[in-house]
Formats: sequence, C-alpha cells, structure tokens
Amino acid sequence: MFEVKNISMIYDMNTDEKMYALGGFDLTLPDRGLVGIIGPSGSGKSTLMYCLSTLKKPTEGSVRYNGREITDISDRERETLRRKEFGFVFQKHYLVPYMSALDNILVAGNGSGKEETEKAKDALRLLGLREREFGKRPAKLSGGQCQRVAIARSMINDPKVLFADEPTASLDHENAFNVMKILKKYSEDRLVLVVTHDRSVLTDVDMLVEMWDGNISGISSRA
Amino acid sequence: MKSQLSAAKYIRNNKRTGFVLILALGLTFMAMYVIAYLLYTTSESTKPICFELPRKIVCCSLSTASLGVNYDDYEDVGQFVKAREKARTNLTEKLSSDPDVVKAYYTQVLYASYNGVVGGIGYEFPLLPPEEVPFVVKHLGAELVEGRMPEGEGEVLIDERVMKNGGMKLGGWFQQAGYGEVFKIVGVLRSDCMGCVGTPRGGYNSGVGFVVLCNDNSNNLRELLAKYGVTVSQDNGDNIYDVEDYRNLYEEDIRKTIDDVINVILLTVMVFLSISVVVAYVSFMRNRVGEYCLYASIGYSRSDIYGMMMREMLVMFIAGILLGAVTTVGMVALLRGILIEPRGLSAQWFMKEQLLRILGSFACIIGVLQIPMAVTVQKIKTIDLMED
Repeated sequence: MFEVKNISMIYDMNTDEKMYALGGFDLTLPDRGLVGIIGPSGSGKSTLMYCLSTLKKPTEGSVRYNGREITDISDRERETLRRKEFGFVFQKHYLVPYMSALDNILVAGNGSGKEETEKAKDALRLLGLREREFGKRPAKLSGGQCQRVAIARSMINDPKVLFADEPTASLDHENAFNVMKILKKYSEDRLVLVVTHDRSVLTDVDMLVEMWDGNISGISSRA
Repeated sequence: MKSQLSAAKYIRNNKRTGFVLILALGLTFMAMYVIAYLLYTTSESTKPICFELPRKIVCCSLSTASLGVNYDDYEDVGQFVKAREKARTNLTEKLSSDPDVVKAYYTQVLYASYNGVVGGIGYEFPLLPPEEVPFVVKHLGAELVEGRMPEGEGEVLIDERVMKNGGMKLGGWFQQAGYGEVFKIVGVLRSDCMGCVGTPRGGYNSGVGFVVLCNDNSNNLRELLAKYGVTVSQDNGDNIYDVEDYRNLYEEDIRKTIDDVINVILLTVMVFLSISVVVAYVSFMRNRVGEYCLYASIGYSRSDIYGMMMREMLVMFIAGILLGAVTTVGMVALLRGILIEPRGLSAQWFMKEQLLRILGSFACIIGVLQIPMAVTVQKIKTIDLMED
C-alpha cells in the first residue's frame, strides 16, 4: 500500500546545522494489518506518519500510495485523499467543544442522513460508549471517552488507512488495551498505523517499525 | 464531496453567543429604521403644505419699490401712502381679472405653524370678511367637519391636523402662545392642502399681504406678477412663497437636511457596528482555531471552512434582520399610536429607500468582515503544525 523511498525531512533548512527529522530511508507497508511505529520522543515517528498521510511534505524522497506518488499532488487531491481514504486519531482528541459526541463524529463524515447517524452510533457503541453519552459535549466526557470519540470519528468514512498518533496516551491501561483490541480488529481489512512510545500497547501488532534519531532501527513482522 | 460543516450546529450549540449577535443586529436594524421613520415624519407631514397648498393659494408681501412707488417721488407722506394704496388696489384688481386667477386679495394674514418630530414649517393664511370665507373654503377643497363658518371678527377655521399638532381645540384660541386670546377657532377644516382661513380682528395687525387664489396655471407667482410689470426682488424686501419656493424649501431645507442627518447617523452606526461585529467575530474565530485546524487536517479545504463561516454569518445576519423587522413593526406601531397620530403628523410605514440603505449597510459590514475571515482562513494550520 505504502512504498517509501529515501524519505528525508529537514527542519531549519536555512540554518547551518540542519536538523534531520527523517534521515533518508526506505519502507514498505502492507495493505492491511496493524502496524506499530515505536520510538522515543523526537525519533521522527510522528513526522513519518504525517508524511505518509500527506499532512507534511517530505524534503526529499518519494511516498507512493497504491502505486501513486502522493508527495506532489494538488491540494484538492490531498484533501480528497484525507477525507475519503484516510482516518486520523491525533495525540490530543481535538473534539469540537460545542458539539455532542455524535455530532463530532458526523462532522467528519462524507455522507448524511439516518444511515450515517446509525453508523456513527455503531462506532461509538463499538468503542464502549453508552447511548446516554452520545449527546454529551466533550467537556462532560472523561479523557478516555473523548479519545474513544476521536477514534470513532476516524472510522466514520471506512478509511483504507487509519493513522493513530499516540491513541492511548490519555487512557488507563485497561482502556488502552481495549482500544488496541478494537484497532487490531479494525485492521483486519485495512491498514492501521499506530505511532506510540509505549511498547506495552503494541503486543499484538502485525508489523513493528522501530525508529531512532530519524531513522529506522529495526523492523519486525509477525510471520 | 459534500461538506458536512453545518452553520446551524454552531449557532444551535452556542445560543447565547448567537443570540447576542442576532439581538445586536436586530436592534441596530430597528434603531436605524425608527430614527429615519421619526425624522421622515417631518418631510412626510409637511408635503401637503409644500405641494398642495401653494397650488391653490399663494401669499406674498411686496415692497413699495417693487410696486413702483418711491418715497422720494412724493412731497409728503400722505401722498406717498395714497399712491401706495392705489398701487396695491390696482395690482389686486389686475390679478383678480387674470383669467388664470380665481381671486386676489390684499388683506390681513395669519401665520400657522406646524411642527414635525424634528423641525417644522409655517405658512400664512388669509383673514377675510365673513362673506368671503365660504368661497375660500370651497376653493381650498376643504370640508367643514366640525363647528361653523366665521360670522364675526377674529374667528378662524383651522385644519384638523394643524389643530392636533398645536394642541388646539374647537372653541379655543388659535396659537394662544403667539397671538394671545385674539383669534377664536370656530370651525375645523379637513382638506388635502391643510388650508386655513378666518376673519380679521379689528385693528390687530397680524401682517398684511397679497393673497392669490390660484390654479395650476397661475401658482407661479413670480411669473404672474411679471405679467403685470412687477419684478420680485429680495433686495427690496419682497417676501414671496409660491409653488416654486415651497418645492425648493421642501427639497433643499427639509428633505436634504433630513437625508444628510440620516446619512450621518447611518454612517456612525455602521462604523460602530462594524467595529463591534468585527471584534466579536475575531473573538469567535480565535476561540475556534483548533476546530478549523481539525477540519483542515481531516480533509476539508479552506473553501469548505470559509463556506461554513460565511453560512454561519449569513444565518445570523438574516436572523438579525428578521428580528429587526419584527421589532421595527412593533416600535413603529407604538410610535404611531403615542406620538405621530396624536400630534397630527403623518408618516410612511414602509420606507423602501431606508430599508435598502440599512440592508446596504449590513452588506457593507459583511464585506468588512471578509478581511478577518480571509486572514483566519489563510492562517489555518493542520494539526501536525500545531503540534510541532
């Protein structure tokens, strides 16, 4: 699905000491499955995820998605890709404060009407929220519930790729385990990319990419 | 791809914020319309005096010089006075015999004042022998709706609107504050031209002048007098108010002054409203930066986000205009009941021009708001940049 060639990302291009967020490496990711990207803070794992998801443009190198180069596509194509094929869970939940949990999911949807609402409700139920919490605003939900709403939002368009940046950061161990279980199940027919620095949540991944100082230090796959 | 960014969601979920803005817009709309409504009562109410009255009756006072009588040409005052009286009588007779003039008089006149909410106007009406009064009433197209015709000295028939306006009553005294207890109101007239007429009170001098009962062919008094060799000159102290003068008075002094005042008010309100709305909007948008970044990150284009912002703004402006329209109707009805009708004034309910001005002002404010909106849209980042 993703073919990355010689990708590099340099911050502070104009200064003498260039800072490499990504140091120029190759990577191939499968069409489906749960892929973990792990590394310490500043290792480049989030930058890699942002480059794959078109939020950032790499300084050099190529990113091919389903055989198509996506580093040089137009803004409109990028937006279409993000809305139709990708789903996002960010480090913070970024829920819209004045909307209910349900509306926060629907706002990301491509469809409308009853069917879409039912789909959003199903996603919330799948992630363990109760009906009475569907109408609550983020301020009335716990951190864990907010993060689960954010995950449900990322699923509303049935994305082919789900990018999750530290999806369990604000969850307790039990909730984190449950969320990872859901993502694992969700990855049966799509690619789910989880970026984290917490190795304990990546026990069930199909592929693990370890990063260190802007480079890949190791890749392991479940046979 | 259809945008799911709804304008209604923000307004529905931020009722207090939305309501404050809608209320502010609605009240501004109402204030702008009601101020204009009140100011325009003056122009609307004085229309009959400025346009209808001079079509039927014109009054003027002419200097002896304009009548061709010069003091220096006479040996004593007595001869001068005789010559002056003769000149006046001659002119009155000439005017009366003009085929386009209904009748002319040189007689006493009385001054009636009529005040709008702001400003006012005054006009002279003739004091004639009682037997002439019904003729004048008929010529004015007036109807005696209450009371009787004058029979003795110092009795007047006054237009019903002038009476209401001056707080006068049948059987009371005409403009008592100015004339004292001199002219008694014995009848109430109703006409399109708001004309009045009465009888003189002995030697009481309320002013004298030529009074011409005219028609559409003779209401330009300057032209009419020129036919008989009289050239009207302000330098000589001639005082004339015919159909042209009243038209100029209305357009230049009344209408233009009111228009200027309204334009200044409108501009001031618009500037303050623009500043308030822009400040409020910038604050709304600042509070929603995270939201806009989320939308941009999950694939909404800047134009989708701008479209949502515009829809939200238009919904609030339209709601503000509707609220303003409803409160305006209520306020106008109230003012009509407590201020306009009791004072014998008239006003237009629907002022198309004013409505267009207000809507134009609102459109300008929407235009001004494009600047902070465009800046905000340009500054929208995706979440990766926010987290960097």
